[in-house]
Amino acid sequence: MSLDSPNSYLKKTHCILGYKGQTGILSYLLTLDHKRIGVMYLISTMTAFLVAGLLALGVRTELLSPEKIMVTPQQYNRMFTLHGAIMIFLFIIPSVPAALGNIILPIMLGAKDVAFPRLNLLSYWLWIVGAVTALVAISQGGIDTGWTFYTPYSTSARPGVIAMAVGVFILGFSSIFTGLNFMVTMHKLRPPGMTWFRMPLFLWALYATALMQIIATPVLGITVVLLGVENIMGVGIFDPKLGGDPVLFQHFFWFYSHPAVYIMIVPGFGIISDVISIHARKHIFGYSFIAFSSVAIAILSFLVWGHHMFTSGQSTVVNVIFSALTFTISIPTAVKIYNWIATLYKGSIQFTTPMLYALAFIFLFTIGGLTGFPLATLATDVHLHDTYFVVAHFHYVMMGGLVIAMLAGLHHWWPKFTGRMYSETWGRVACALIFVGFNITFLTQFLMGAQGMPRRYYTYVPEYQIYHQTSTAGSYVLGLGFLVMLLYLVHSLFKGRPAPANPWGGATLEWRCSSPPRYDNFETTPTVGDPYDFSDLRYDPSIGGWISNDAPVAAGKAS
Amino acid sequence: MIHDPTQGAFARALRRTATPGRALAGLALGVLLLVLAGCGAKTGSLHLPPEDSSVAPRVDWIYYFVYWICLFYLGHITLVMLWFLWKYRRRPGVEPQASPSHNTPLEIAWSLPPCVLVVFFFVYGFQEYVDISTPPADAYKIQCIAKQWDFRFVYPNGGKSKELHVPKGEPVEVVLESEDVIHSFYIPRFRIKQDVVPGRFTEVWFTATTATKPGEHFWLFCAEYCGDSHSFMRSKVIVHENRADFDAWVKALAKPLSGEEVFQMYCASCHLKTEAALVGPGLKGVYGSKRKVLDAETGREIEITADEDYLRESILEPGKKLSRMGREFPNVMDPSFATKLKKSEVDAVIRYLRDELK
Repeated sequence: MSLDSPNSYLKKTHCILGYKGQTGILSYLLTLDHKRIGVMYLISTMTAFLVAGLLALGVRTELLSPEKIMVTPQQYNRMFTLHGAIMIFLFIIPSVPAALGNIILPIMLGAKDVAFPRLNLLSYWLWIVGAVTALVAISQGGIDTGWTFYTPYSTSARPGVIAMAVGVFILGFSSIFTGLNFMVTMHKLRPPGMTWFRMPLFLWALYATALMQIIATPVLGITVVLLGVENIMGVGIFDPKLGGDPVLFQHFFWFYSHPAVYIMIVPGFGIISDVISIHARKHIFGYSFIAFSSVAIAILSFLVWGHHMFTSGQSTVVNVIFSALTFTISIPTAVKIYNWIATLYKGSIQFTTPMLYALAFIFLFTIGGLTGFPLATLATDVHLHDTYFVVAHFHYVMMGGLVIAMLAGLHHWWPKFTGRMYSETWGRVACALIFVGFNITFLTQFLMGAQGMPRRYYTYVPEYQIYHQTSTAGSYVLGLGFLVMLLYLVHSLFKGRPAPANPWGGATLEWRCSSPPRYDNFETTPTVGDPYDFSDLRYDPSIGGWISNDAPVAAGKAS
Repeated sequence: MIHDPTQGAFARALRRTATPGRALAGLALGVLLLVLAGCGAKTGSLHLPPEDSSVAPRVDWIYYFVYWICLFYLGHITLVMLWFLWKYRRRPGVEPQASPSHNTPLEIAWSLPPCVLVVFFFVYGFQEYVDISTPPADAYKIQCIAKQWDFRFVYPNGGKSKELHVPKGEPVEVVLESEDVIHSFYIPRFRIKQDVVPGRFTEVWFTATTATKPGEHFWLFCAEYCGDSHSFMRSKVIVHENRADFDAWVKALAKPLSGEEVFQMYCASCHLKTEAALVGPGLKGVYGSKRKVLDAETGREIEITADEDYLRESILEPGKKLSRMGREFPNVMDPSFATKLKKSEVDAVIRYLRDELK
């Protein structure tokens, strides 16, 4: 069990077949190393993002005109279903915790791996099995229900929904195992000196996320089992023809999916806290507020699911209660923004690519958060519900929030786990394109939605065409931004300047090991102080990175 | 002590012309201009369509109340951020300055105003919502039956229509039911929406405050995704100037429907009046023509003449002989026309196919 001994378990079992210094494909596919598992998650989730992103461009292109451009209504409905399902289940939920979290969490803790490396590998393979099952079911079963799978439409018309649900069920276990693994790791493997309140905020965010994954995801499993029981045994649960209640499905679905929204965004908060502090060389403002608010959000997120159902026919009293609870969750979320801005005060702000993404996040997430108010306010939600206003709102939160935060984290830690620097110039160009394209695409959708354009529409009345065309034009700019990003990131892997151990001047532990880290991360367990105290670091132009004042080249004998 | 990895003319030019600060400022200004335009009412505004029901002005008032406060928040957050970005940008010889890393009074101070504001949002939204969701006892009642993919309205005298007709200035309660999946009844210009859930009745009410001009209408959309033709599931709302006009119109409904009216109400959401196929084959020229069909009993493709018997059978027992004209059509036609349509209505629509859609 001793992870620290020189002949440790980890060194012997770097790969499930035994560590022999392999670099072949099997040494990746069967690895127990958290960084390699993280990289596999990263490649898988980014592939999912690419596919779902291309589907989104297809959807937007079709909407250039109310007439048919390239697909029939049926194909269009399948396209937006695939877009939503892939983005949510295969990209957004696993992207930050499973991909970036796996790579960074143990290093941030100064640990050699997560607490259960084999379980970690199992999570990844469960993810693959779940993803393949779900994708085969969606594409072969012709599922066109939207990612929400509302009954009775989903069950009456589409038998493939059950197969799809099995895939989601398996994905759920992947998510639960990752959550458990991270939670145990944070409890048991913190290095000497790292008390709970000296954990970097990214770890607090991952902790809150793990909590939600463990509590909420089983409900998704239960829902899937109930769907199966109804479908196979004919017990009336959700289908009114059998005496069931379709609104009950919505309760089950959102009881999972609303916390899932926070499973998606909370890790983003953690990334932003760390990136802003490091790139402004300033101690994070209000550490304990940010840490507690992540946990508060995790708990409150279980109490607000009914706000997705204000027009569903649930009782007025229930709606009023959910409206009130929804407002309570907005406070900790909103006030975090002030903490980030206060962190900038009297700092030394460098406009690196990760920082630009973090700043873009603040602007976009503020819009995303504020546009939640007219949706939480009952009278205005009646008008705005199920229109493009909602579509724009959750894209500002999910994409302007989580995806942009994920990109901030990706660019922030890219030198660490690849050992290469990317082109800052192209990084900034891509960030600008994504920022501008995103706003053109989705600001327009707020207006279109408030004007009454319902979502999930293949065709529309002519008054909305100008909005759709503007939005589609924006989406092409957005797509171009991502293309540029793909090119320079891949280029950096082959031609990038070797990264120093600490290119940005971070004080958290991952910047103390080499870039990329050796396979067991640290030779000796490091000790830690305040993760946001940068006074001990100075810039060394000869290596293009930051080093400790007293220990010239600390643990990081770069590459 | 500046770490700046960007070099080259392009990078310098980019920095000169498009600092992130300026890009953000430009965007913020653009957003501001965009939204300042947003304060009309009767004629509609950049944000909201015209207000044509009694609740619309009150809902819009709350919308703008929330909106201006949100805009204030977005504005000052963005401006303070830009100010800090400019003032504390990294430059040679300037080190970060010491400042406290937390300040409890400040943190409480900026948490309090949002706490108070959301109470106002909640209370206004809640009060208005209770009004929106409580129909007055004396409201005129219309029944609405939603199915894939149209709405049908039944008035107190038993008359049916595909478009919703209502009188101006009187509360109207629409009782909603669904024959298949969940739909949603949404009239943007009235600011009302209510899901139509199979297995239960839901209600929605409104008082129209603007009469539609002849030939004009308000849109009624299905707002809950319901399958292939979800986006085609829309209807028109026609508001009569006064109760007398409306009553006359309802009275006329009780007359037997003409063949064209039957076609419009029951057939037109899937069949076009031309030869082009929609969900089902186009019906122009169908009467008397030679048709390739799939005989469900034998499973073979046969050729028949579309005479009265064939058309009647196709209406009353839709799956029996499926059209194979041009392509294979799925067997999705509503099988319940045998009970839904009167015999005289079936006769009328067949006469319409024979005489009008030659």
